[in-house]
Order: sequence, then structure tokens, then C-alpha cells
Amino acid sequence: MRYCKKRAIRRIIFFLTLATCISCEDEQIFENYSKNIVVESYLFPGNTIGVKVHRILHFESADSAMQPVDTCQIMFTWKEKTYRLNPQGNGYYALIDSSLRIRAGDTIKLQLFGERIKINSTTVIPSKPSNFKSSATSIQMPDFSGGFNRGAFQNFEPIEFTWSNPDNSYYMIAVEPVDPSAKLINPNDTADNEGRIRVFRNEPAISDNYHLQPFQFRYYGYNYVILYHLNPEYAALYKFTGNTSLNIKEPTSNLENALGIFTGINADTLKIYVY
Amino acid sequence: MQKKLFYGITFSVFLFFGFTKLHSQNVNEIRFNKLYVGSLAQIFDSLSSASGKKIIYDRGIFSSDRAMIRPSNETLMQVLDGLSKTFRFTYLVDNVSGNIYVYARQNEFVDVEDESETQSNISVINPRTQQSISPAKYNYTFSGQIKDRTTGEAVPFAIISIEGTNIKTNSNVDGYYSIIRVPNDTCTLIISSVGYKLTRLYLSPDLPSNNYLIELDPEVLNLKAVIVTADKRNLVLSSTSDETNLIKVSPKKLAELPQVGEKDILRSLQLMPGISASNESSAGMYVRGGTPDQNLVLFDGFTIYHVDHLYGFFSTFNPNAVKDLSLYKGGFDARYGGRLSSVCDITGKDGNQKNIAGGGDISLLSMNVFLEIPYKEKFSSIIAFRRSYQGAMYEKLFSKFNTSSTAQVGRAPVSNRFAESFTSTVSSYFYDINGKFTYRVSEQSNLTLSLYNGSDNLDNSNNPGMMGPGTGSFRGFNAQNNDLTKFGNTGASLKFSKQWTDKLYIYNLLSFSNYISNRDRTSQTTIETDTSTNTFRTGTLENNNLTDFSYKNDISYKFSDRHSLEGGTQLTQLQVKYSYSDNDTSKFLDRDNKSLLAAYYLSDHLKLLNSRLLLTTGLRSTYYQLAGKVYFEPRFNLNYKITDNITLGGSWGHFFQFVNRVIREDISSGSRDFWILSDTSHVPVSTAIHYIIGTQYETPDFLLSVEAYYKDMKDITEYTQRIVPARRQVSYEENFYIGKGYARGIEFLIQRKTGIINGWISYTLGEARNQFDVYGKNYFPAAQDVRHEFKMVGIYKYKNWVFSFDWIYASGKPYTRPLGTYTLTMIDGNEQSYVAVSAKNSGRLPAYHRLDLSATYDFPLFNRGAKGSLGFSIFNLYNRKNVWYKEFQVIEGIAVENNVSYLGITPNLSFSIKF
Repeated sequence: MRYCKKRAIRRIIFFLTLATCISCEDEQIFENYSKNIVVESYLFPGNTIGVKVHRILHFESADSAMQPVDTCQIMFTWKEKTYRLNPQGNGYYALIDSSLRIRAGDTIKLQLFGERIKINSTTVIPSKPSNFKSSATSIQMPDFSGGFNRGAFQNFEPIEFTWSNPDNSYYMIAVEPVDPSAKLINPNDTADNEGRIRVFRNEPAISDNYHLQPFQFRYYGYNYVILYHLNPEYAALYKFTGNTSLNIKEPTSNLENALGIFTGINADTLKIYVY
Repeated sequence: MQKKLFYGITFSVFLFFGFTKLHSQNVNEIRFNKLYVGSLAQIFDSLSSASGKKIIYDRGIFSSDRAMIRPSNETLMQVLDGLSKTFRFTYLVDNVSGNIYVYARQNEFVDVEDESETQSNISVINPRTQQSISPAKYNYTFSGQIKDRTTGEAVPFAIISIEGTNIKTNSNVDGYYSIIRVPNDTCTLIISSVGYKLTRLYLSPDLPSNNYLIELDPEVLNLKAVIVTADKRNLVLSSTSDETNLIKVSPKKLAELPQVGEKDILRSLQLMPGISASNESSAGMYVRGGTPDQNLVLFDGFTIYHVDHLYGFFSTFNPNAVKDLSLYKGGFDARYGGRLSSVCDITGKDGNQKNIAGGGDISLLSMNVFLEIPYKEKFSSIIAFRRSYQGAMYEKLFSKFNTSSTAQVGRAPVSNRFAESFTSTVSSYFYDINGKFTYRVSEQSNLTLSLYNGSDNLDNSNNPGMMGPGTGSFRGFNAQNNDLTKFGNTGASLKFSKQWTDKLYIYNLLSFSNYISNRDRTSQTTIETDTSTNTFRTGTLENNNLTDFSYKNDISYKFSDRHSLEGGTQLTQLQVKYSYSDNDTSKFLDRDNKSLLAAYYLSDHLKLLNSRLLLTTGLRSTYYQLAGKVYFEPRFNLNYKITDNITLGGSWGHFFQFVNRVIREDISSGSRDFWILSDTSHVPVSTAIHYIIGTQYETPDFLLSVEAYYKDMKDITEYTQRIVPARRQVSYEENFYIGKGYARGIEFLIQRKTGIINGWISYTLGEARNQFDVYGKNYFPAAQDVRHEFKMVGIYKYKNWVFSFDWIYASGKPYTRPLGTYTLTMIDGNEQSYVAVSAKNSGRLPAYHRLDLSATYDFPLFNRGAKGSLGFSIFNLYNRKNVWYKEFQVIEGIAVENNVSYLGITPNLSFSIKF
């Protein structure tokens, strides 16, 4: 009886030791993250095809800026033909081939070889926005002479822009002056630190209209109102990617084994006079 | 004191058995010639082993005296006679069972009515008034109900065993019990239940054999017993357990553990092995690598879908309204279904059946009152209400856990230039109310209505105010930034239960449960002119509404003392709505699913090998309407009592989950999760298989337990907007990703159950890993993965004081780290920076540890029976900065990490009264 008890205890100890050993198996943490390459390419119908390739700027690195990658082989596949892009320096690659005229509805495949990895992506050129119209061709700005917060608005009627969106696509509105040296509506609204023109843009949304308020214009004179027809991969770039360990996530990318964006875009433009 | 107690009890038993001191022929046939050296306890064991006769004695008394004997062809009785001359004991032989009882000698017969210190640990019912008594009935059924002597409330899940045998049973949820084949009507029953004195009932021929009411005395001050008992409960004389993986809590004694502001029933469970204790921001339990939604939480039969108050720092259960809690850490039997990990079955208090009673608590966080009103012994009721108030403690917790001000969801709705005129109206509170009304239709049947409602309301809104009046046609401009969160549960159940015969118990239950979670983070701008009023709304709106109507029917039938069968049906109509919209126009997700769940189960309990082996075999079958499929869940559980002290247990089973709580990865505050119903496409029915094995060694003073588990999970779902589907047409439904995972580990527990100082030490080695194709083909640590967890709890009682401490150490949780940054030039010419991150959850937060202390002083109040209690506790005594999460900023190409920590040192005062 006592012998049986000891044997039973030994068996239990053996099993539990075995279970402990199984539980102690080393954890594999895959620290070697492969997505070090950032690709940036926007394909507009009729425009030159170009791709920018850089490395991400690692926090531990001594570099102060993203480093260009000029040693890649980049192939485009369009209508079952493959084209090779030529490096132009500083991480930029371009296709100098007048026979390639991409159009709305075309599917383009990207293949990139370099840095010991193969990067793939595919995109479609969206259609040009249709029935893009505005409710007015000009707009009068409020008088800001009394200060914005004192409320001196003369008119708050927005301009309504409409377009067709039968397939629930993403669209985005951007406004920029026709003349880069146009007068600012709000004198305090200066250009950004790098001297670029301030443009207004909204975030991509699935919609077929937009109300542009007077205070959303920044320049007097003629302004382009550009309606971009976008793919979901571009819209996803505007999503918040988190700033804490509870919500941080990899930024969206439609490239396999790389970060960045490879997407087709189409657009239509109206002109609005601001006075 | 213990020895005195034992002398008293054993001597009374001695008187009972005195006439049966017979040296049976069989016993005398065995002769002993060997040398025996050791403690008396060891010698008794050796004699028992050699003779095959069970010698029953108190190991605590007979372990200290040592002896060396060499019998010369002596019978067992001669050996015992010889020993008894040297040592102060006597022995008896039970002719019925053949067992030998060894007792310490005592000069006086204990007076069972004596309220001496001896009596504080034990109650005696039907004491022997004569020294000899003859059995009149054999192998008969003894049944009735167990109640609290002071309140008349039924005591559920009490353990009733027959002394000296392996016969044991449990009272059911309504306190009814039935023991089939009691050997004779002079046996002694031992009744134990957490929070009550151990009770001995001496059967006698004049006692009725059915409808016998056993009244248990609640434990009083100076009781040397443990509060939270481990898997083997507080069994004193029996080490057998019918269910492995079970933890029971006595809400009556929660106050003795260190608390933060509130006595919290779910938080106390986190002190036991296998339940993660490093989640200050979740009252929901992470059991054995599972997530809180994988834990089925039942309150009086209805499901509670969300158990958090105040960002998860407290649970929704008011301890003043809870009578009993059982947590099955895994491998639960076929009675329960619909969850992958564990079951938390809570029984609400019925209310005092004898007198009007009540009480209240006040702390730096909340006020809590309850009232119990009986009516003519047939009706009892309880109403309990708790509400937070914005005192110092609440403010501290709120400011710690309210991260809305730093969270970002999309772009800021209003330009900063309006900020100067913001007026903030931050406020929040939580409350819950319980009501239970019980009508005893007859001695054998009850009708019970249980109601619950609880809610958290958080308001971080601000109002930039009205600007104007304007000139011309412009009349005004108003902006309102909303940041509103409201979530809560409502539940109700109506139950009719009846003990039809000694063997048959049936209950029927109708229940309703509703969980809502509404989140409004919008900005509303209204512009009025003479001719028009334009309202623009931006931001996000999130609404989750889950409704559960259920009918349950359970039948329990005992064929014999060794064989019983349970079965039942369950019909549930579930409806889950979830909408998540942006800018008041685009609905990212808009789900409204309904489904019927129809389930039945059978669970067979069979005892073999002289009741040493308990096999529980079950099958649960569920028809899930939305999938149009039937899911079969076989379950198997065994407990084998290798010796009187050592038990080996194991479980295996299949489990399915049809309603899932999906974690949103894209936000860090407010409701980070939502419930949805599984469908056949984007959110599959998730499944798990449990493998559990363990062993326990138990003595009257100590419990040692080791359990190993492996949990294999498939079709688990996560929601993230991380990857863009490579399609022309966007579909947010495709942001659900399906993966698999496993959790495994081993738990160790050493518990001291008696003594002035008691408590336990536990260690868990665990691992939880997932694999989702969207993150790659490799397994990564799940967010709840904790490798090492060590817990130590100590309780010291001195007169009216109870001092306690706990110390917790847990290795850090995984997180995803930022690795670098990159910039893209957008099509409008703006540059946008992004942060590249590591492989999912490849980093580890620092280890979590803290020490909590508490002191409670109980004192009589006002009049006889009323009691006051003053509590003081310090949470996180050495002010450890435990990291909750990290905030990241990229400043000039350098990642700056800022640790956001959980609560630092937090003292609290509480005052309670009960009458």
C-alpha cells in the first residue's frame, strides 16, 4: 500500500515536471523586423511614373534623415507588359517610356527587388470624378477687421460641391491658390515654416458632396478646388496609428514587405473666385 | 484551544461509540511482529496499512508524540492497547464500517451548550444525551435544507459528509441536500461551508429523515480559518473534491483582505493562482491566459456581459448583495456553455428570513446601503444600492484612469483657436442596485425574482460657448465638444425551483440581460443666420447594445449515493447591435444580428472504487441559428483520491463561444471593446479545448496544490484597421481578423488554513500566445501574457482585529514598440510622419509588484446584534510605479517613451455597520 502510494506520487511528480518543462520552452520573439523600406508612389493618369524608395529612420541610428535606396530593381507590370524603372538618384526611380500611358481602370503591379527582399503591390487607377459641380463660382469673404472672435461674419453660406459616387469610393477635397503669391485672407495665417503654400484639405471620406465654408479658404483670388478620387489604401494613411503601447499599430500599407504607399489617383478641378 | 476542541468533540463521539468497543474477529486475526518507530500518527498509518483497517485520528494531535514498539505476535487491538497505556488515547471499533477511531483522552464530557472558546470553531446539532444508542435504520436517505441560523437564508454548495466514510454530497444552489444510503441513523454528519462554522450533526433514530433543516452558524470573530479557500475548499475531515479547478469566495469575510476603497469580490479572486492580478484597469478576470470575455459571469442565472466600474478598477458586484461565488478556472462541466475559458457563478443573497436587517458602508469612494425585509417567514427580500461620490479617493482614481484628454481619435474636431473659450464639465459616477425577492411556496420550493441594474457615466465634454451676436444676417455660432461614455448592465431572472423528492430537483429560470455601451466623441457646430441654421457634426459615435432573453431548465436526479445525473435545456435569444460611425455620415460598422441558441446538456456523475474515483462525463449540444449548425461539446472530469490526503484530478473538454467581445486596437480610452455575435464569415464561432491535470495534498492544516493546463483556441477574432484590404471596394467588415492561440501553464499553491496566522503562497508559470495571419505566420505573445506570477497573502487575527497583507509580483506584459520613423509626402503636398513599429508585442513592460496592507476592527454597536467595522488599508505601500502603458512621442527623430503608471500608494478608510 505504502509502495503504491510512493509510486503514485512519483508518477505525479514526473508528469508535473514534464508539464513544467513544456511550459518553460523558450519564447521566440521575432525582433528582426523586416519592413525597413519605405516606398512612395502616386500614379496619376497621364503623368510620369515615379517611385521613391527610402529606409526608415531607426531611432537608434546616427542618421538625421531617411536614407535613399538607389540600388533597387523596380519593375512595373501594365497590361501584361513589364517595364523597368531607372534610378534617378536620391532614391527616386522613373520610367522614361512614352508608350506607357496609364488610364483610369488600369491595374498596375509593382515589383521591387533590393535590400535582400522582394516587395510587391498592386493598385488600380480610379476613374475621373464625374459630375463634379459647385453651387457657386465665387464667394465673398467675411470682414476680419474686427477680429475673428468678435464675430463679424457677413455671410455664412457655404459653397456646396457635389459629384457622383455610385460605388462608395473615397474622395478628398483640396483647395490651393492658382497664383502662389496670392494674398492671404487672414494676415496672421502665415505660410508654414518651410515656406510652402498653405492649402486646405479635408480627410478622405466616402461621400458625394462637401460644404466648403468661407473660413476654409485661405487666399483671395482664384483658387483651385481639386476633387481627388482615391483608393482605400490612400484613405487609410489618414488613420490614427496610436501613440501609446495600448493602441500603437503599424501604419497602413498596401505593400507586401514594405511600408509606404503605392496607389492610383484621379482628380478633377474647379476654380472658385474668392473676394 | 484546538486540542481542547478536539478533546471535546472526540469524547462526545467516544460516548456514542463506547458501547461498540468490540474486538471483532477479523481485526484480531491480524498479528504484528515488526518494529515501528515514529510519531503516533506514523505508527497508526503503518498499522492501518498493514491491517487494511482504516484508523481515523486527528493528525494534529498525534503527530507530536513519538514511540518505538516491537509487538510480539500481537493483534491490532493488543498493539493499540499497549500504546494507549503510554499515551493518552483510547480507541473504538465501528462494527458497521470496521473503522477504528482513535481519540485523545479527556476527563470531561463537553457541554455543547457551553459558549466557551472551544465552541467558537464548531457547532454541534443534536448532541448525544445518552452514552449508548442503537441504530434503527440502515442505508436510508437523509434529506432537507441547509440554512443560515441567524438569517434563515439557504446556504448553497455546502459540503455534507458522513464521518468515517467517503460518502459526501453538496447542497444545491437553494440549499437542498440529499444523502442516499446513509449507513445508519447513528452516523455523524459533518457540514462545512465557507464563512460558516464547521457543524457536526449526530443522527439519531428520532430525527426525521427528510425535510430536515440544518442550521449553520456564521463564523464569528477570532475564528481561525482562511477566507478564500483554494481548490479543495475548507474541508477539515475530508479531502475529497468533486470538482477540480474550483475557487470559492465567502463575501462575508471579504473585508479581511486588503482592499482599495471597496470590498470587491472579483478583485479578491485575483489573489488566487491562475488569475492575473496585474490588471488594475480591469475587474474582468484573465483566467489561465484567457480574456475577460471568455469568462461566463452569471448572477442569479442571468449573464453579466461587462463587469467593470470606474475603468475597471472595481467590479459591478456589490458584496452586500452576494451570498456565494464559485469560479471554475477551466474544464467546467456540461452545465455551463458559451465561453472558452472559465465560469464565474454568483448567487445573490436572499435576504434575512427572520428579522429586518440592514447595513451600510462608506468609504472614500462610495456609499453603500442595503436592507433586508422578511414577511411572515414565507417571503424575504433584499435591496442593495451603491453609488460613487466624487471624494478624494474617487478623484484620484478617476484622474488616473481617465485618459480621454490625451487620447486621439481621428483629427481634432475644432480648431485650437477656439480653445481659449472652452468650459469643461468633467463629471462621472457609477452606481448599481440589486433587488431580490424570494417567496417560499413550500418547504421544498421557492420562487425568486432577482433584479440588477448598474451603470457608469463619464462626461468629459466641453463647450466653447456661443460667439456673437454677429453682424448682418449672421446671428450666432455655437460649438459643443462631446466626450460622453455610458456603459452598464441590466439583468433580471425569475426562478422556480423545487426539490420534488429526495432524489429529484428541478428548476426553471427565465432571464433577461442587457448590456449597453455608448460612446460619443463628436463636435457639433451650429451656425445660425437670418435665413438658415446649419449644424455640422464631426467625430465618432459608437453604440453597442446586447440583449439576451433566456429560458433555462435544469433537472438533477440521484440514482444512488454514487451515481447522479444532471440534465437541462437552455434557449437564448440574442440580439447584438453595434454601430461605429464617423462624421455622422460614414458608418464604418453597422451590425445588427439576432440568433437563437438552443442547447441541452447531460452530465453524469459516477463514483467508483469505494467512492475514491469520481468520473463526470458530460455532453453539451448547442444549435446556433446564425451559423445553422449544431456544436457538440464533450466534457470529461475525473478526481481520484489516491490516499486520504492526496487527490489526482484531470479535465478535458470542448468549448464554443458564440458571442464575442472584440478588442479595438485603434483607441486607448473609453470602451475599447464591443460585443458582437459570431457569424459564418467575418467573425467565426471560436472554440477551445482544455487539458488540465493536477494533484492536491491536504491535511487539516495545509493544502498543497499543483495544476497544469493547456488551452488550445481557434477562430479567435481581433478587430483592427491596420491593414487595407487589397480591394477596390472598401469594407470595414474586413477589418476583423481571425487567428488562433494557446495558453498553458502550471500553478502551485501552498495554503495554511488554520492557525493565528493563515494565508497562502502561490506561483503561476504561464504563457498565452496567438497567431494571426495578418501579423505574420509566427505566434506572438498575447496582450494578457504573463510569464511569472507570485502571490502571497497573510491574515492575522487578534481579538477584534484582523490584519492582513498581500504581495504580488507579476512579470511584465508584452507591448508593441516603436522602432523608427518615416515620412510620406501626401498628394496635396503636406508631409506626414509615421512611426514604424516592432513585431507585435515583442517588447515587455517592467515587472509589476506591490504590497497592500489592511487592518479591520470590529465592534458591537448601539444595541445587541448590531456590529460596526472600521477598516484602514494601504494599497501599494511602497509606492511602486507599476507601468500601465507607455506613451510615445517622436521629437526630432528620437522616440521618447513616457511611462504611464497605475496607482501609487493609496490609503483608504472605510466604515461599515450591520444590524
